Amino acid sequence: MRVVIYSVQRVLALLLLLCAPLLYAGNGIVLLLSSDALPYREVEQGIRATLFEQQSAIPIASLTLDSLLSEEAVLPDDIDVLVTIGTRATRYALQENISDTIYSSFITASGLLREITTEKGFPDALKGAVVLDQPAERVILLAKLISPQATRLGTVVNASAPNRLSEFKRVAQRRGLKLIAASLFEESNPIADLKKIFAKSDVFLVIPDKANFNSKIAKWILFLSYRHRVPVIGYSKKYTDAGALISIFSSPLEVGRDTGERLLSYLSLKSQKAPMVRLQYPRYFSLSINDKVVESLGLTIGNEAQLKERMRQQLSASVRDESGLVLEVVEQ
Amino acid sequence: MSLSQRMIYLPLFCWAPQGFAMEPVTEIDLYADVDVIQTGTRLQQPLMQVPASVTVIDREMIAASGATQIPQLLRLVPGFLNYSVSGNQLGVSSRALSPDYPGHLEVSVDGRSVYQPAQSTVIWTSLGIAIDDIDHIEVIRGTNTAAYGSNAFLGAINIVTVDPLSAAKLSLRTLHGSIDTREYSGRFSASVDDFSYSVSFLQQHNSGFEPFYEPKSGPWPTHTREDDLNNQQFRWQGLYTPTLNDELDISLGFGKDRMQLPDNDVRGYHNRRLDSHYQQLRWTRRLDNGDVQLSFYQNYLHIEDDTVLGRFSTIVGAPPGAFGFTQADEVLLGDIRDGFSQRYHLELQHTFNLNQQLRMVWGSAYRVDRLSSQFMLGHDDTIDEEQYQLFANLEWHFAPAWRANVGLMVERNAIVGTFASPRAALNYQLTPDHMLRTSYTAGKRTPSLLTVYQHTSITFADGTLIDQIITNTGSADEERLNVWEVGYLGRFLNGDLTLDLKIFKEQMRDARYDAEEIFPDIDGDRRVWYNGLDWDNRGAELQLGYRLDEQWLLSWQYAYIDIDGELPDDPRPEDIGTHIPKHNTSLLLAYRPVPAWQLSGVIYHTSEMEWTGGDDVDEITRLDLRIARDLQVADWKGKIEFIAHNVTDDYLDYDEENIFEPRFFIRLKLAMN
Repeated sequence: MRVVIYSVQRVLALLLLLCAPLLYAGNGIVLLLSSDALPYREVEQGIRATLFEQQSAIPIASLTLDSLLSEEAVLPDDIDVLVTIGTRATRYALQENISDTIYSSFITASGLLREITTEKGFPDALKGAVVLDQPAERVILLAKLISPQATRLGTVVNASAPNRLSEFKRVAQRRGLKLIAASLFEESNPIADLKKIFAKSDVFLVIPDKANFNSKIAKWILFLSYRHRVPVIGYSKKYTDAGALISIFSSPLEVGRDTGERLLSYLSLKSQKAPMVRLQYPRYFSLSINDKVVESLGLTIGNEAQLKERMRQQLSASVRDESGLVLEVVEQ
Repeated sequence: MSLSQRMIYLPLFCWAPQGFAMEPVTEIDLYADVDVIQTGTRLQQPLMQVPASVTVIDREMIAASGATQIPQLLRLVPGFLNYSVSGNQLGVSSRALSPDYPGHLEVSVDGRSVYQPAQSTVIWTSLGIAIDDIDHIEVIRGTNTAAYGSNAFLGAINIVTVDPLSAAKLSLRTLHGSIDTREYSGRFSASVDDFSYSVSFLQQHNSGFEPFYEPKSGPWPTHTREDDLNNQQFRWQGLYTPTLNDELDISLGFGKDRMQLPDNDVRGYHNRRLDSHYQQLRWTRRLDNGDVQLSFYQNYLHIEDDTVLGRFSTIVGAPPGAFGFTQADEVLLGDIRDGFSQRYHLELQHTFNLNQQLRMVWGSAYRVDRLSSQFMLGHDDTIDEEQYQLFANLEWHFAPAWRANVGLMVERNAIVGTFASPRAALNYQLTPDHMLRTSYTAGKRTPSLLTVYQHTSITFADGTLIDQIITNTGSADEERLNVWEVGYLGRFLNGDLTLDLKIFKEQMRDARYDAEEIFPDIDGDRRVWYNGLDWDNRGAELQLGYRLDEQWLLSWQYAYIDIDGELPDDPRPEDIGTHIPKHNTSLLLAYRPVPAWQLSGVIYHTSEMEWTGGDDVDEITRLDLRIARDLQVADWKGKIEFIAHNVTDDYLDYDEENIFEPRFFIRLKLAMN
């Protein structure tokens, strides 16, 4: 019986989707992808899947920035929302004013802030965003879970680029931890600075930052982690594969799924004149553990699912971080 | 919106003092690869994007293999052969003939070529490193001349050593066992101010194969062959990062290698003394859009042999004055006696992004190879060969699933003039875990210094020729190779299982070879270096790696090669169809029943073949086993290993005199952080 009900539901959902242009009063959503590369397509896939699952009747179309620039594709008139996926698409849409309702996704907070901090002033067209950064609360809780005895966390940031050090320090303090950071300048000796940090740290956090994207620095962080036997928390599965103990990140599909849900929420509130622009952390995230490192450090941390469940419980019990609010711009 | 609204953002991000001095992090940074291969094109590329087939032997495989000598590790590469010309003269070849001195592979240690012009080969005992100094080995299976030039004619091996930063503060290792093996090695790593360094040493001794009594043959006397090794190597490695964007890598080493070698030209064996040293300096400057690398190294090898053949009358079994010689009954000397080879290499390399789709590396190198040996060259002069290289590789990511690589190496020297080796490759990413690849390379190789200038004879003290062993024609052309490859690389089960498949076709043209000719000397013949050896290879390679869980590791390698060619020898050409084994496979399996114990084994199988410089051998199946137990003694962590090599039947390794019997070893490692 359950199968029959499920099947009927799926058929109805499909019918609803097929009839969407007839049922939906607006002009729909257009996704503008920074390129045709796989991660952007996966974000698109996540958004479409969410709209489908929610039985949304909103028409959805997509095009790449390159196709738009080469005039192979044209942006339809009077769309409800233009969703820009990635930095290039967001930059183009904001600079060229191609829509008065823009929702940005799959972009870093620092990348987005750079785009919206312009001489022309805050772009009115930007109505919201899902950024890629993980909230500090989530990362620091993970550090606490993999090393309950830890009292000092270490990290490194590039002093010449925007970074999130103050946010992480504040959250660490709230969790009873001390965050020790090296700020790398052009003239810094990175190994000397990293050594000092590793000597004092129980867990090392790799906060996405230009300092950490220097491949040499990534290599040295992993080398020193091995030498000092300090676990490293990375920001991508590839970081885990390279030698971090664990990484926390949101996959393109997860970001797409989150974006889809927030879009629906935005559209439902749009008619009530949405009061604020929200730039949000991704609600969904993944963990990836390097079992070899777990073994070599002699740790017992459980598997990804167990850790994630413990994180969910503790996050919901403490700060309402799952909404991932980065900042709000309140209408005056 | 008003200014007051915008101000809300500011406290939430810690702005840099200089504002946006650097571009902020983007989604491309977040999903970028951290672990990459550089040996393929000189560009840093993840395995899925390399336009060549690559095998990476990591530390886990190195440990599980139970290998006691570095060349043994290369048996874990599809199509690679490791053999013993004698107990301690080791050879590695791939898809080529297997002479005493194989020279078609580029072998480098941390980017420094260890190819020795004096013998046109790699002397594996003089690398200056122990197995435990290796972090991983990157092997390009197939020609890589477009990236690294002539030496990488049939492949490139880059041995990457443990960085001073990641090395344990103090580590000590010892290996004892069969064939009188006594080996001690150690490494100390520390920092002085901002300078990280490692000092390491290696002391090796073994007695090689069982002594072998050779009866008198032709003019040459009886002798008992021995092939002992006594080897000491010392190495110092430094790392300095004066600024955020600068890195200086320094490496120095020297070694004393004493071994006994059988001689294939003159019956007998000689005591060989190899004294080597090297210096390497590499400066890397990271730029906003790429990096620049300037590197320099110098390799020096002094070879001294003390082969005493004996008195003329004793050797030829005839009184002085026989064969028309009028000289007194002198004591004749053989082989290199006092020679050296040297290489200077200076290189500049620049890597940068042209735009989001295009990346490029280009650079130039200047190299001088020097060779001096009265015995090998027939004169006391030093030969200097200058070589210039200009190289570039462009990677074009022209569509989401497509990536093209175009590489070109142009080389110039006095031997063959200017010649170019291009490569074009196309990678198609079916999904993030599945990639198809095709490539075409037209490789060229300048003949090695030795094969161009060699003129080796046995003479009386006044210069009168007794036996002309080998000589040259006074001219040489480049060797040419055309290679077509189609490959597939796939990851399954969340990356726990990887599958690498390749089919290829190679056309070798004008390879150097030494042909036997009739010559009016004491034994009536001599060998002469020529171009003109051609062969065609067709084959397939497979590599499968599977990590079932933390307990099980499996790695299977297989190569099928069909070689078609003839050695244009006198009096009639010799078919070389059997000079490469048709089937060559290895299977490594490691199991950890409890965390502190590991059991592992490797089976190697090679079908019957004829070693080019050795003998015909039947198919070989060799099984190596290892039991390892982790140790913890106070602050020391360690491992004790019981290793058995070839636990099945004896087999002939390269030469019918090299009987490889079962060998047993015990290895102890201790390390303190």
